[in-house]
Amino acid sequence: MNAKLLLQQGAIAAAFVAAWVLGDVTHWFNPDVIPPIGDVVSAFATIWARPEFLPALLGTLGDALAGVAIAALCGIPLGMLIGMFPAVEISTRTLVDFGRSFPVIALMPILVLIIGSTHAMKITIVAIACFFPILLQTIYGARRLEPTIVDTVRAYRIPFMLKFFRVILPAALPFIATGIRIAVSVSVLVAVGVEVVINITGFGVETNLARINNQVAAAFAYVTCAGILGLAMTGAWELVEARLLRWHRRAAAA
Amino acid sequence: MNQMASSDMTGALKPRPVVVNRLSKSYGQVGVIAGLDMRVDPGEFVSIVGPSGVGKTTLLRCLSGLMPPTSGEVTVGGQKVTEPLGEIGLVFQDYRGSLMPWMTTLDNVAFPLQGRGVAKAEREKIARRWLDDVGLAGAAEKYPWELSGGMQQRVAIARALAYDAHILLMDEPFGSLDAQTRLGLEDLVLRLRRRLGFSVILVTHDIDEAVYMADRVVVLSGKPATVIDTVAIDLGMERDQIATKSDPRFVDYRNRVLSRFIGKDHA
Amino acid sequence: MNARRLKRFVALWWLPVALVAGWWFLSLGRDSFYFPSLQKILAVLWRDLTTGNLLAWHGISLGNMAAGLAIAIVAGTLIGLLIGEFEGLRRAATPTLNFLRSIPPAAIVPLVIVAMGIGSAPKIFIIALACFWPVLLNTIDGVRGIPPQLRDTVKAFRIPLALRFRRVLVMAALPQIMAGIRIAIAVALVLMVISEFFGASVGVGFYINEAKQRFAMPETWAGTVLIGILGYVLSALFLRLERWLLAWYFQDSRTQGDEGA
Repeated sequence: MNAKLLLQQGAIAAAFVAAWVLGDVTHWFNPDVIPPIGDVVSAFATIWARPEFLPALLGTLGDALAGVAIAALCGIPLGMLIGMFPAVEISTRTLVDFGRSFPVIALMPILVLIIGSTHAMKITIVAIACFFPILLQTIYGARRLEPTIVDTVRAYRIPFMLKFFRVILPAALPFIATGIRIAVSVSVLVAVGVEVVINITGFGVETNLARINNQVAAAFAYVTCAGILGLAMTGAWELVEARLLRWHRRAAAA
Repeated sequence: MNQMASSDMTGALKPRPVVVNRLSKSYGQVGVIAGLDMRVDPGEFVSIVGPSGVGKTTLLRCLSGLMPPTSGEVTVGGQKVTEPLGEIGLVFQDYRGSLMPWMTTLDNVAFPLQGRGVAKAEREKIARRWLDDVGLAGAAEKYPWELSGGMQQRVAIARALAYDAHILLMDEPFGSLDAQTRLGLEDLVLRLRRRLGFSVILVTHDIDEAVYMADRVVVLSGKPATVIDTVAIDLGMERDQIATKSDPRFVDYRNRVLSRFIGKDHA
Repeated sequence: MNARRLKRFVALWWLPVALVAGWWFLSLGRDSFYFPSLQKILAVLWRDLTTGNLLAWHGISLGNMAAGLAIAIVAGTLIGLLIGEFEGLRRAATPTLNFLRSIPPAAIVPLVIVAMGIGSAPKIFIIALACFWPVLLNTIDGVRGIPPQLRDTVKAFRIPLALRFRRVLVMAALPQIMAGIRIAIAVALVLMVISEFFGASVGVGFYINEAKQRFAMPETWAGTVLIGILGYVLSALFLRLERWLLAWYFQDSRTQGDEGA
């Protein structure tokens, strides 16, 4: 790793920290609202040890993953279907547009009333929120075939199943992977969003509790943990994606 | 360097000579060009030919000041070129990539003048005049995507000339066009040059084009690339697609250049 | 309207219309507590829009959204242009940016509401803060994605910095910036709803939440339907705007076939 680059990156991060310290020292920040960064750092170090930390982590992580999995299971097949058949695509386009611009969080009141404040409800919301990025990217991937490939396949009269598995699906894979990546980064955000409003185990809940108990630094620390979780999950998926696509690229090149 | 005098009023431009001295360019360990010497006299038309990938575009980028050489130097009128000079106009092969799709043709041609601080009325007048000169009188308000490839390339040429370029650098400018359009544009460039007197450095892999248009053909080859031949073309200033290309001297020049590339079994 | 456009209109709308009609007829007269009939939902919606506060609250919610978005767009575009253009700055800032933008804005909502109260200001602040990121990141991507030939042209003709930013960088990055704004609009909608769930006395989100507290099912459904329509209309309007602003981009045959993505 380039030492100069690391230094520069550190400098920017340090500038951010300095701004925070400045705001605190000049009392421009209300300490009850934005605690001194030192407090947050020490809170960060201690919350790991708390008994409620692990359940919170698993709560957010588990429900987020479940949501992504369900979204992928529904979204990928549906997306392939829509992408491959123009008649289906145009028929469903309005519905898809409606769904993608719908703020999923707004479904919470209804779902809370009908299903209640349960893990199932939280996973449902995460799944719905993750469904659309996956669906949209899959549609895009299934649609986007080079005209020359289409013509070649038709000229050689390739049967449908073979065409599906050796041409369409591989072409769509990079897009599906992108869709899942977007979904993964969204899943944590949505999971925490639900937790904040409805008290279902997770980092969002802990943030709330900390704030209620006037432990603002701890609240910040929990929020930061949620952020790190999101980064970690996205990073993990990117590793998976790289391996998956490398195999796929090698196969495509073979 | 004050180049604001309109080339129209002086009748002929007075371009400065371009001298390339032992130019070398490498990317890391890979040498692309090695110890290249070249010269373009005022008003001269020099074609640079070579096979694809030999480094012609790299050479042009060094000549234009877009890329610094690894060693050696390019001078224009004795002045070392370290960044693009105001008297150099560039025309790229990919006209789509170099014309701004959100600007009208007129705005595109006038844009470098806007960069120089020329007032709007003045620069639009100049732009219109050049669009007329390249045969695009009615296209001023159109957008690039409304024009054919050949027309877009004319816009690019008009832009370079409106910029008052004394030295035109062209990187395979007609490579993306069909044969007929290409011939029309070749003649356009020659016509404008006869009238205005700018120097031209044309990079191309089309040997016919290189010989047809130039006063001198520089042949590039090898890895890393060097000049393996220079052919002086003595066919006069007036060229014609049919007459010139049937001239036995044209055929001789062409064959001489061609023989540099045919008969080589390796890539 | 000619035959082709009519055909396309039908193709786009037959399924949604059929589904809504199906819902209407299937639910008619069969009200359960949790699933009021569509007729009832629409009736309640109409009632509250015309006689209640809902219409006015609309304005407030949308106004907050607009203000937050405006701030986010201006800040995100300006900073994004700078960071995108100067590679050294971008590489240095990337880790910090990545970290900051993965913080779930929803988690911040209670903190901000507690600090700033339940008026408009905290909501505008949250929306601006959250929407800043998609605009910023997409602007950076847009600037970085500018074709090298364009950059060469600008450099070859020695275009000065200010002009370069104004007439080249912004325009060339605009398609990507608009994509970022589209995402930002969706984010703004979500946060508007959440912030109104949390601490508000007016607004569409408040309407839904308040109905939920009262176990008023039809009203809760009505509010949710309203938000859905709102989201769709905003999105459709934005697409129109995008097509108008980026006419040159969509007309360019390079990008044809990408529509609907």
